[in-house]
Amino acid sequence: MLRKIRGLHIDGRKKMSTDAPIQTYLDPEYVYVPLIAGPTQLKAIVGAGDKVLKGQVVALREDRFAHPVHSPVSGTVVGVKKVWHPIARMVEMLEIKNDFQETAVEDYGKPLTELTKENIIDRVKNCGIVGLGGAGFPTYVKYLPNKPADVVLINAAECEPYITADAVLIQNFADKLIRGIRYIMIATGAPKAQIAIKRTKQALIAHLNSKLAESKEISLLLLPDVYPAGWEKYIVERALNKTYNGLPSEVGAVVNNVATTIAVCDAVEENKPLIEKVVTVTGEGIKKPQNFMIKIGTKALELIERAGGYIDELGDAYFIAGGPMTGSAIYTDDMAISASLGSIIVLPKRTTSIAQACMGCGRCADYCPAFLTPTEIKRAFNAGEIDLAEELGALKCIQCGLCSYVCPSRVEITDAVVKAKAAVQKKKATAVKKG
Amino acid sequence: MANKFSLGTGPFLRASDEKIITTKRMMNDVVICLVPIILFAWFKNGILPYIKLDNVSFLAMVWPLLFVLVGGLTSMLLEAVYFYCFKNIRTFKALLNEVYLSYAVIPGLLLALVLPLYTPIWVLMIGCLFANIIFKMLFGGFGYNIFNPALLAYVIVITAFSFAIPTNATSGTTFNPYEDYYLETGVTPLTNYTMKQDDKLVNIGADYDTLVKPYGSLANFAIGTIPGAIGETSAILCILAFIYLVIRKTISWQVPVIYVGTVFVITLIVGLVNGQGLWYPVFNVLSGGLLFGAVFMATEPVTTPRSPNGKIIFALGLGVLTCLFRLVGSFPEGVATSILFMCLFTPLIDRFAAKLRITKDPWKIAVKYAAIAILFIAIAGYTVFKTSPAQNKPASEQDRIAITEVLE
Repeated sequence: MLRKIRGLHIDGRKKMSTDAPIQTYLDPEYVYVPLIAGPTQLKAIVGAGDKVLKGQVVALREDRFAHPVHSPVSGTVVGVKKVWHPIARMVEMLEIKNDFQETAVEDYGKPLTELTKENIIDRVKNCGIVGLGGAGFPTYVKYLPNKPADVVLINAAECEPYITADAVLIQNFADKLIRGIRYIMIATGAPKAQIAIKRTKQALIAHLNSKLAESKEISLLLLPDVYPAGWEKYIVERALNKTYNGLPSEVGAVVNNVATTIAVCDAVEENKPLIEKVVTVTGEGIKKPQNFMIKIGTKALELIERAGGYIDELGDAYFIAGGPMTGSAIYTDDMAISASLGSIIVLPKRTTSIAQACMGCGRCADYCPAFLTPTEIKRAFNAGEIDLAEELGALKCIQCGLCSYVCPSRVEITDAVVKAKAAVQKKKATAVKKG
Repeated sequence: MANKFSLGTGPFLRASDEKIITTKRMMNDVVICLVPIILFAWFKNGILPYIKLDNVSFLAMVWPLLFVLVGGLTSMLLEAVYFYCFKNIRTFKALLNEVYLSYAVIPGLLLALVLPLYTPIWVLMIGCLFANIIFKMLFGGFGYNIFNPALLAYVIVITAFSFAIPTNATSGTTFNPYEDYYLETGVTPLTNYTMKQDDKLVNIGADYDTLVKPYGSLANFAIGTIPGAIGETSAILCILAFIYLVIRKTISWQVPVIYVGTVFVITLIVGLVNGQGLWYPVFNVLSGGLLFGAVFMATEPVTTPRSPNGKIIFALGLGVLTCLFRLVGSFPEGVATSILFMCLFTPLIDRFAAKLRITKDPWKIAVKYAAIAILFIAIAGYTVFKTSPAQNKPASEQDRIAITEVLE
């Protein structure tokens, strides 16, 4: 018996950044290549003073999810510098000074001649394509299983408020998206694909339908306008009426988001590594909210400048890397944009409600998409009972933020559960070390 | 030049900031729902006797309203004193704000509404002291109390000050003067229930004529023109309050519906076993503080489970226990005690339910839910068994002879 994830409608606030066309900004003076990917440290293979070409490999991820990282511009490596990263801390990054020549490596632009599973996986790996939806998980890993997948699911839900990057990508690059889906179908052996999109996005649905008229194997999967409709598990559940514990491949599904799919298309057709992306710069604190096509590694403040700057009476505000539900507040706008960052949102602080004691209404448990009971996890964590927190499912928290969102007493309940989760992970890690 | 920004924990959108739902709104909703109930209590206990009878004084006319308001005011005053003395809050404005955000008025109003009319005002005030200071503030204030303050205070004052609370009409005080005329025994409907008849162990054999007829019909139960505590007699107003609170998403519908539904089903079975009709479960649902308790007390968020499945277990337990206490126990009412009793288990239920929610193994889930179900069915079965005619038949002459023979 499958228990349906409830989800909650949250006002989208997407209008402000969808009206303007995508602004292209591909010539920053400096770009910054972070030397981390997820939890892993990367190995830099160039050093200060080295000349690099656009698309040249400058760093390597060497764990079991190995992939290269490329230089977004041609120019000179200045050195390694600590710069603010969207994960809300300073991270060592390669600083590269742009020579504005856009001199690319030799095989840049060379299309893949033979479209086989192995060739596409190789291309996707060598182009360093990672999930652009936020997690940054290397995309080729999803295609590796030899058993053909049943279905490729394209995540076009973009369920967090404010963000419009995927929407403008569909609007402008629908053909690339569909070709990308075809390549992924070859790579995974899936006979069909579905594009999961919220049923309220009428214009995009019409646009996609007109492009999909002749492709029987690709269809649309309409999702309700709820948060978190863009959660992988939610989409798989809607598509297959099945759920899984670890990865979607358990039930025969491969899920990629729109931006990643387009990056796959670019990799296959142009051998273009992951060096450019679309980012939404929006929020009530921005004068002219819009979407930018940028080089990965551009400083955020340069985009803010091009979006008209901050509103005049900004006052106390949050500078959010990522969506308003799952993103993190960054101390400064002097932050480099990483590959998996989809949006920058500047929100004037508007805390109108007062934080009160939890009165136990249970809303957080009602809406939790992972079926956790956050109040219990918080209680266990506060009592120092880390084992109990694990038993209560702290590790299953997807950090969607819904519990804090619905809390009428403004309790920082997501934060508490995330801390409990971290404590459980830490305890497990030390147990592994000892054992 | 780089700009500096505020740090904070996500999510950066909150339903509470957008005024979609706040604790303040939820608590205000409860008070709003109590207003018609207070007004009806005033109408039924003060205005109606004033119109119907000649010898009702003006004070007696406004008394029910005053009584409830005194309850609310005493609670607020007591908490203000507490905040002044122990939390060092000294300005009038700050005190008012603290008392408001502690929702001090609610226990006082609820307590006043569940006490019998003409309870001495000092008993009410002591009740408020228990409710707001001892059962709430000393436990840490709003959000930290273990028992529903109003309910526990009710049980305390009802038992500790029973000498001061008039219990029958002969004293001329418990009920409205006008209610005397159809009351021979001068008791609430549920008291009829447990008056031992002959040598029956449990009084369930009471029929329509003794339970309902003295008060007119079941329609009077629904409207609320029957004797009972000041504010809990009107079923219709409780149901309207329930609908309002559910629409406003202040309470979830499951607890009251499952609670009342369980009581209905068990008393239906008890009624059928005893050869009574459909009126019997309806009578049980409409009388006593069941609906009032189900809507206002069993949904009180602080002391009841948080997890959705925990709420359902809690509500089922309430229904089963209310029937047990009512039909088998020696007190007429079962609502207050069953809610307090189940509140004891709230932390246990929450932990049990939270673990069950994330359990993947369907067998484990089935076994655990089945264990709970068997426990509840056993208690309900015991209630039905104890109230069955076979159990309550007076020993016949022949039986006595047989027993004597065996003994000899």
